[in-house]
Amino acid sequence: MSMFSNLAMGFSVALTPLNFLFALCGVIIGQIVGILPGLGPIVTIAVLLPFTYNLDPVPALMAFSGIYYGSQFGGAISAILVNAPGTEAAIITAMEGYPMARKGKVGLALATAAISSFVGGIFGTVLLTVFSQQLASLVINFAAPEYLALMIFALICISGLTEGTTFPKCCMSICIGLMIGTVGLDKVTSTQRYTFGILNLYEGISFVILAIGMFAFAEVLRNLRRMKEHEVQKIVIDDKVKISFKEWKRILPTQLRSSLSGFFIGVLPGVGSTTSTPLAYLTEKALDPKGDWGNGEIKGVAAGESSNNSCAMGALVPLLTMGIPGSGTTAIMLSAFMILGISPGPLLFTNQPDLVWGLIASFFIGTCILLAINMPLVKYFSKIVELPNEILFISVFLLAVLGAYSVSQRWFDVELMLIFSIIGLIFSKFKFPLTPCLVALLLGDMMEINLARSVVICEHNPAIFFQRPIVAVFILASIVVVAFPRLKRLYKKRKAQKA
Amino acid sequence: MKKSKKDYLFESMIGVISLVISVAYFALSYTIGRNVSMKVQMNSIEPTLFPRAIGVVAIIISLTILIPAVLGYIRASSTDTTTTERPKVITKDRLVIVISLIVYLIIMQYIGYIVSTIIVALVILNYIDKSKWKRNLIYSIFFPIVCFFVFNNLLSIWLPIGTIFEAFF
Repeated sequence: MSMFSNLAMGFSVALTPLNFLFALCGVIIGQIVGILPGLGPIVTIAVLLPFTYNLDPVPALMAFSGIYYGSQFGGAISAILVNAPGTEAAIITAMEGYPMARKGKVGLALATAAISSFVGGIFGTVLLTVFSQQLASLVINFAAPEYLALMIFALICISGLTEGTTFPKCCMSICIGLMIGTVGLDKVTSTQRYTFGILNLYEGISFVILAIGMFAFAEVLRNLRRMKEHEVQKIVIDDKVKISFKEWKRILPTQLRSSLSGFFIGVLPGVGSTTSTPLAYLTEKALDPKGDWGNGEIKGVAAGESSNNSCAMGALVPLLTMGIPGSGTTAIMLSAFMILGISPGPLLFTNQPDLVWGLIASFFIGTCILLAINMPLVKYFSKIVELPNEILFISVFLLAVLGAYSVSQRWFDVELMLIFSIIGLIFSKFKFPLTPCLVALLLGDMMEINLARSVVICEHNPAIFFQRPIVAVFILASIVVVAFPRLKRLYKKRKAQKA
Repeated sequence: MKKSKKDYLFESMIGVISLVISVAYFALSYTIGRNVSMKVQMNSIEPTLFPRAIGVVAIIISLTILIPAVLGYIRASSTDTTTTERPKVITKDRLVIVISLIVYLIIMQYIGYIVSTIIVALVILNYIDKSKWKRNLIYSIFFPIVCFFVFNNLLSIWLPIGTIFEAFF
């Protein structure tokens, strides 16, 4: 059967009333959990898993997939409205979306996020449909040294993201993120590290705690005094929700580029949107240096959202074709596959085509549902910013507490969140950027595992890193990212001196 | 923009703090226990490898912050004689929030999520703006009840009912 007839069969499966209903419920639930910091798709799928034991695999998996990509967009809503990225993928969206909201362009930011999610989702699904099997064979060429080099490259790119600070401070912020990431049991040997005998630290420090503390709660602390003295500017909401032709012209190439890069990064197991979104952002920043980066640049929201949605689709490639989960969410989805009696792998496409193609068709349908639900809701979401400042801030305070508690249902995490909010304030005072620290915490575990594997592979000979072509490309690219802006500045200075 | 003596001093302080954190982190890596059997199995991969690598990199980066700042300070000392006033740091309001959160966490164990949240929300809202006490009261009661219902009944995240009320449920 050709790809198109397979897809037609998939649509016939996905559009049956029951399957459609499950996909719809999944998308709505996913969006809600994405908005609430601390919950996330992993917890939700895990909680809902027991309810699907007696269900047919197709509707159950459609619901889980809906939760997965619904949460990608939900995370953007809280990132834009209250600077609390609900999911790790929304960190970049918060960087540009929140300043847009503070300028009153909240409707435009949310609409851009919704449409970019749609573009990323559809683009990713098309690539998943066409290239899934070919890509799976390509990914096999990536071993631990390649992953390690890619992650180092991603971190170096992040250090180029932030404005108003110096390169060493960005690197220090990354180091602090990596240091926080080493707290808890070592992932390779299960040895305790930096726990100081505190039992609650054995599991390590969750990204959500750090994100809520450093971003959302620190914002509460930062604004309280100004709010009390009625210094906080009332945001004048621009009712504009539609994206103008001029804005479309700016964001469409960004969406396509970011979707493409997001998908290919998503295909690499273990990498995910933590790497893809900063890379997409950096690419756009490099291509448009005159943009209003860091102060509410619409292209930043478009890059982050298209990249993370496309990446979510890319992460399904190794899951469906090789049975390898590429992220925490796809790992829990793999367990859902297992519980439902399905073994993902190369034979899945031939043994259960109705399931695979039904699932792929449901991605198209789910992405359309997501856009159809959210575009009319954008103007209502934007009203949240119009709430009285004190109500908005106390809501962020209480939701931050609930979000931190929801991670592991223990109050210790709330105490940690408070500590991180104070650290967040110190970071701001010292002009240390927060985003690199957060991304480093997320990548730390994977970096360590790949470093350990690389050391085993290379038998303590670091020359291996220079003998592998893919690694060499990443190292070279990292050097270019670090050196290029400095050389450019030096060249301009020399030129000015001569003149 | 040309940096002043004070800017360099501030940068030096950041450099010193970064260096202290980095050195402490590196030194603490020597307290990490070693799992001998695992070491053999993993071909000499130790749990200290990654922390030490981070520690070394962090020390180098701290020095790249500290050294130029100190050199700049020395250079500026010979030319810059202006004195600037220290900015006033207002921490009282932040302290109120931090203390509220600590008290909130303590009392919640005894009186449960709903009652403690009502009290804390009411205290903070009235601290910010006393004039709208009616709105503050309605919000303080409404928000925790909705959250308690949503988290306990729909999301299976159990918020505490409090040791005092446990006898009644």
